[in-house]
Amino acid sequence: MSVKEPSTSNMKSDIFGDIILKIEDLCVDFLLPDGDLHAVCHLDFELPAHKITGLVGESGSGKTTLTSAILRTVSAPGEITQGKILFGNQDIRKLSEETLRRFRWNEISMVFQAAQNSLNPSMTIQEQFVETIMAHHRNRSNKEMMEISRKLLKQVKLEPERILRSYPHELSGGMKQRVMIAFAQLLDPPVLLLDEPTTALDVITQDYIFTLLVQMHENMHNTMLLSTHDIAIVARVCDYMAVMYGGRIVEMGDIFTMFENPLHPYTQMLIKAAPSLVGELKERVAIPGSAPDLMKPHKGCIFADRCPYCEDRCLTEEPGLEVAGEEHLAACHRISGKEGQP
Amino acid sequence: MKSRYYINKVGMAILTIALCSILTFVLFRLMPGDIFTAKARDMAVERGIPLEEARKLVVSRYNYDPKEPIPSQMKRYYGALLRGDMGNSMSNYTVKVTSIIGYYMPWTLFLVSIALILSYLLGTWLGSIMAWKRKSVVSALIAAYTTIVNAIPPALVPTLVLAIFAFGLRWFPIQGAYSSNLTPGFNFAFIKDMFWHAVLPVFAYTCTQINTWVMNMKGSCVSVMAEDYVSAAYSRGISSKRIREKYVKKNASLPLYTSLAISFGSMLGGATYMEGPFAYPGIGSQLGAALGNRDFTVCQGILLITTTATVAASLVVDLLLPKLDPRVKAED
Amino acid sequence: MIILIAFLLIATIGTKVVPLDLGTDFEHRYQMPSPAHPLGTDYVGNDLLQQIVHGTKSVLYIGLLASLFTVALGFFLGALAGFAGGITDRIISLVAQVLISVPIFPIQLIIAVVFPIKSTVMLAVVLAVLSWAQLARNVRSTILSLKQREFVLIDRIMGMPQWYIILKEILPNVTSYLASTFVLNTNAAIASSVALMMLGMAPYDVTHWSIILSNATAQAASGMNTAGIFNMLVPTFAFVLLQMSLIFFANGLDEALNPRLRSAASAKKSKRRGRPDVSQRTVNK
Repeated sequence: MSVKEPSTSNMKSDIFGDIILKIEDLCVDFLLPDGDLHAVCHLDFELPAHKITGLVGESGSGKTTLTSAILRTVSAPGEITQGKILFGNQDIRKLSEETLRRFRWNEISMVFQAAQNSLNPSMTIQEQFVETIMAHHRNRSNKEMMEISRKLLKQVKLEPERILRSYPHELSGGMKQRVMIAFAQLLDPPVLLLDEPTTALDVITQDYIFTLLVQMHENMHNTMLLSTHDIAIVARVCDYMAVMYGGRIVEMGDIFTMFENPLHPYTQMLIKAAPSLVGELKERVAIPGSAPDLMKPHKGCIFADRCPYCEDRCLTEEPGLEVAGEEHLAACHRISGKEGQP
Repeated sequence: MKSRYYINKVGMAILTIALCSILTFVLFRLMPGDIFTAKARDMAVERGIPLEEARKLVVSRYNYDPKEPIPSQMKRYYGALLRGDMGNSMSNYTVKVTSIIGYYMPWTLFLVSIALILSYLLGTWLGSIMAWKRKSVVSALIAAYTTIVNAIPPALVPTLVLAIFAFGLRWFPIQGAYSSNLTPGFNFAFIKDMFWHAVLPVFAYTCTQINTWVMNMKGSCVSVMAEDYVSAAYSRGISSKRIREKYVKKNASLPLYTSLAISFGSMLGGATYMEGPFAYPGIGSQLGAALGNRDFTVCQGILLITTTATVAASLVVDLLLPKLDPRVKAED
Repeated sequence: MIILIAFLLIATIGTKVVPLDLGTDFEHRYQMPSPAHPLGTDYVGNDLLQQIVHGTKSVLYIGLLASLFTVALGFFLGALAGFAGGITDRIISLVAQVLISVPIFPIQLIIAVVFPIKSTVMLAVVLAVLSWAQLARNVRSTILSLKQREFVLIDRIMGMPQWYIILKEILPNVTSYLASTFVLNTNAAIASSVALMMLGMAPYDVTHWSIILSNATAQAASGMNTAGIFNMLVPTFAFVLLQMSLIFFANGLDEALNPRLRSAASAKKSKRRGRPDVSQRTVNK
């Protein structure tokens, strides 16, 4: 069974071929009493269609803000202050309330971090599934809706009858997460956003869930954006990887290119910092310094104060995201001139 | 274990009622002055019998002997109680306390129940509006109105209500539960009239309770609205209206259910001064009258029934809670 | 808060400044406010302003006294239960539980009948004797939880005497709660005292606001005189104002004394641009 075609025309990118989502110059600010926090800052991003893309970054890098911005569900006091989010030929930011409502879950759905509290505690799973379907397709019969629900639950290896009748608090963490994954597939959306779907779970369940996700992707050929801080997961599961730091994308590319030839110093350090079964323990290097303060307006490269290759230019000029190879983008002054780019 | 929870609650309820009853029992026995001797004397004079005999008569009539030590007094009283006999009214000994209660209590319950439901529905509705439209004029108006109304000492509310609506505007009848020219029965005219007379008292009760509901509901709604599952529902494209009903209101109401019993008890306690101005034939005004007449048996009976009703209401809510709130398991 | 202080001032100074003239003066019944009588007159032609001013004293006195007793009693019993534990705790908790579950006004009324109230102090005691339950419960649970906390344990280990622990560690945490409960209790005490007075179970001052009101109603009822409404509204308004001022005062107290609320309040103060709805949600990463 293949995923339904998006209701909008496909977009094309010079770098990544078929893309399904294009973000231009996005800024998301949190208006706090002490000042504005620039969680996402002039961000450009292209999401390749029918592939799994990993979005990697540490806590505070803006990953969750970015994913919730796509669906326009950034929580108060956050606000999207500028930019475009293009899906097909529509700018999601410009959609009316009603269109946006119908758009959500139908075209793009999301699996949240910490599914612990993402379900209404006073409704059974069945009621919630039915409610979502009804919110979008009025004319489905009860029988149809139950069949879809059952099928999806079986896909995530859950026993439909028992789960459907239960209330959220009767399920374990891992089960709830799987329910959320099934839930996200309810309307066959072409794009699935996953925000750290397994952070709260033990390693074995984590592994299980990713196996499921890969299987689902193979069956349905949908597009997935998987945001995580665990680079090992990305290596295992994703086709593309984008690295986020301080509210900006600092590097993005095809997965093999990224691991074999990481260009941005942050990416290089991330890979080096990740534990490996093969390498020696002392080869691991932690990244010195701490995350940037996003309340202050920043001059120059956001990574400058932690970068071992920092030059004068890096402190004054912010490097843009530039092509650095085939299906490879990086935002670093050092790469200009490396691959013959101006 | 499920049954343990229920047993616990029921046990506690019984204990509470028992303690309260003992408290009032002892209180009455502490009354200064010896009414009984006075009554005995009256009776002796009336019937021309010696004082001792008269006293015995009085004792048997009221099932009470002030010269007895308290424990045996209690035995007498509670023995009779278990047989369903609350004794006779002291002001009019032909009337049994139980019949007094039987006549007046339904009226009070009638008023209080309506007021409970009305103030709950109205209060939670207003509270959810306040939470939903936080910075609007509507919200501020609701807050202002309920705060002001709540600030009036409850004892004055009936008087005020009467003054404004009954005397001033002449919209509603001044007193009684029903017009005196109608005979009680299940005919439509009577029932309509009954409700007509109930409007002002119910309104008065509601005034005293509504602020609590509005504020509690608002607070509860606000914290529910900040929960993850609400924003998750938005991202699923669920309509705003549905979220408001099924996600916010439903979950915000859960912690409020126990307040139903508290509100009930509070109104029942206030019946004493609420019914008076309306000359409503309820248990509250009877308590006031009985106290005035030093009619202890009646007072004791009324107090017992009032406490029982309040505790029973709490119990009902506690017992039903596991069914209403999926998260509360019947375990303690 | 300002209003409350105004009331306090009125109560204390007012009685001396505004002379009380209660002679009847039927000529000027039910007058609307005028320069000579800023709040109008009542059914016997007495100036309402004077009465209100003088009544303030008794109203406040009763309320504050009752609340003081309630808080003292509640704190004492709650602390006793919390510290002593064991049987004492269980007995006190049981009694508190009963008092909370049961409507206390009828019992207050009955007590008032059994022990006729002859003085204001006694009235305050009667009100307090049943109202301490909720407070005691909360104090007890605070103490129980604080007992476990590190800083108390350290004191214990250091061998500090019991009273020292109470003073230095427990009190500061409980103070804000006590203060705001005290103020709110005054509110409740006033309400109850009004109820008792209206039923004739408590001694009253002729100038007490509820008496003004009930006299006014009685007259208005019999005379069906709509002008009497103003007479009634004045004391009502006085009550409302007082209660509301108490509530606001309590809120202010709470904010000032409660260390946890304090940081939220200062965050609100430095809010820029008047942005709506700065909720306390954590920033999404």
